[in-house]
Amino acid sequence: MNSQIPLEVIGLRKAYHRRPILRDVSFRLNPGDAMAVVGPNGAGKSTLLGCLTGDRLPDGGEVRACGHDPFEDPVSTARCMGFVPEQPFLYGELRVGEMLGFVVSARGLDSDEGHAEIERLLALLGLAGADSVLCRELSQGMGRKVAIISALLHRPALLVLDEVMNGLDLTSAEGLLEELTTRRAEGAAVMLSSHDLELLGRWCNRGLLLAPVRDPRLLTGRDWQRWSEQPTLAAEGI
Amino acid sequence: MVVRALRLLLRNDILRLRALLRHPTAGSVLGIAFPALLIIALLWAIGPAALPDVSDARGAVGFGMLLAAVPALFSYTILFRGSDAPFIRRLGLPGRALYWERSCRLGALSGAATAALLLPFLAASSPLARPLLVALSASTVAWATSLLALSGAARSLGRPRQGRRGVLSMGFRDPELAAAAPLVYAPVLPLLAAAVAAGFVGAAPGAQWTRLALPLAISVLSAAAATRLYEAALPRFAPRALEMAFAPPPPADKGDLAVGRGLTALLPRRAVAVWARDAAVGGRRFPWAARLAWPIALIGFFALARWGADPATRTWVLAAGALALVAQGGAVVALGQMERQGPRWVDRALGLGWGSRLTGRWLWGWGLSLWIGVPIAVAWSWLAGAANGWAWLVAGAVTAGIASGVSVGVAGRI
Repeated sequence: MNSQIPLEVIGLRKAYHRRPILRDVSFRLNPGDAMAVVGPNGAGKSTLLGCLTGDRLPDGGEVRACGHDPFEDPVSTARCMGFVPEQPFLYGELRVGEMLGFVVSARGLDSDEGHAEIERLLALLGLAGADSVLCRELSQGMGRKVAIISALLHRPALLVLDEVMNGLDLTSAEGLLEELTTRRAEGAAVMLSSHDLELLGRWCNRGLLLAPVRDPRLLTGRDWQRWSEQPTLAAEGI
Repeated sequence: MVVRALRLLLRNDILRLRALLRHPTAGSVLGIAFPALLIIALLWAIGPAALPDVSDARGAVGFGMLLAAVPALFSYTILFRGSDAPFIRRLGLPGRALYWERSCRLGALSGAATAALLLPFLAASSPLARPLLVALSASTVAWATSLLALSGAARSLGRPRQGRRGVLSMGFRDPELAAAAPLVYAPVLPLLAAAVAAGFVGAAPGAQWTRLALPLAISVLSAAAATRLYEAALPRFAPRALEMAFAPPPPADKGDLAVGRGLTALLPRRAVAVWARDAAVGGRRFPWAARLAWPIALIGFFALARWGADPATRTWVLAAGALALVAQGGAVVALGQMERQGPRWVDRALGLGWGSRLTGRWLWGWGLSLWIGVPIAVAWSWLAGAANGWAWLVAGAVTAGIASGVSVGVAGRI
């Protein structure tokens, strides 16, 4: 296992109540890669991302984020990874500024640099001046933006984003994609789960097709190009 | 790094608490402040009449077990089900720091319970030294052994041993519940340890403070030993705990929602619909609320039938019944908290008013309490010869009423 590789997954398996959800998922993400996780509802997209981040315990297989196992070395994994879950967590009682300030301190970032980055990302996502708003008073989209900023602040080598565009207005979504493109150019790998197939086809350079009761299908190179020209949830004909 | 992270987590807790006090929500007022004030007022008012007897070792053991119930029952939730735990892990804060922060939370809760149970002594102007000594030894030992027992159970569950079942899993038909047996039995250890500690301190006459040294030493050692167990268990057990929270689907032959059958046809249809919905959702999400009624009702009925003339028996049945009613009220409140996470939009979309929601929820809560209230009321009046058996039904209705009000309030605006 190589610490330079942002993510490596080998033979990942997961079942709920003996019903297999993930069957033998294997892939690798190199620096700068962006992988689309595609599948219908219930295909196991969030379960897969949960297994990568340590939120779900796999039944078998290996996960290495920058060479670290999320279940053996969660602290090093967290340093390597930024994760935006489908339902982000925010401290409702705290103001946006306090919440992000806590993230800066917990990540051990330099206070001045951290706060400058917060200001930049708040402005980029259309939240400039929202530091004094209580998190519980944020709309769904605004709450997601705060969670996105929390995940981006420490400039992780791996970004795992679950339905990250949900609830984002067009300008903010474009701003986020711009930021993610910059991060990719700097060497970060991105895993993106979404139902917006056009976006995934346009922006990612590989994909993982998940379907209930089927083995996962990894799409790279020509297969991915063919899929991205006509994005679909069906794996047949690719 | 651990100390820095711990300081950060504690500072964050204080910040959140201060923010909650500065900007209180209806949920925090109804779900925390109101029940707390109610309990304090009740303890102050009825405390002098029901003062625990801690004059001898036997009384101290009982008082110690009562105190230990709070850390024993809440330790799992506090240690492993904190809503912010996954977020903190993703921030890369060490498990050891999280352990000590959660220990502080459990310690604060245990301290609050201790203070509450000392209120009757204050209200009765009774000497406080001996009860305080017993309470301190029991609650400290219960706190530490809760940490140890739960962390140990989590550690053993985090290492699945395929095909091997321990002696603790005997009697569980459901394989998943059998696998979680160490966790199910973990609260027994703090109850027993607190009883022993209280008995040890209470065996000496008066208030011999030097006797506190041994329970304190055991507590420090237990809490320290639990650190490594918790840290080792957390990465694998925390996701398992999340999965264990999912209720399995009900059996196919379990009846569907039924609205307007029998006597319910006489009630407002909307309220009955809420009742049927709450009973189905609450019954499947919190099945323990109904299950705990059976042992309490059976044991209470038998105890009253056999020794009902003895005032001590009636006091124990009263205490057990009251605790069960409070626990059932907790399930009713928890349903409101669950609604707050999202499902409340259903009621908004259906145009259900607060009156229907409150009535329906109260009907569910009262219905739950009747499984305890009816058998005990019958035994209380007819077998034990006491006159006020009907009060059990009223107590159930009042508890359900308070819990329903809090539940609807906690759910927030719809």
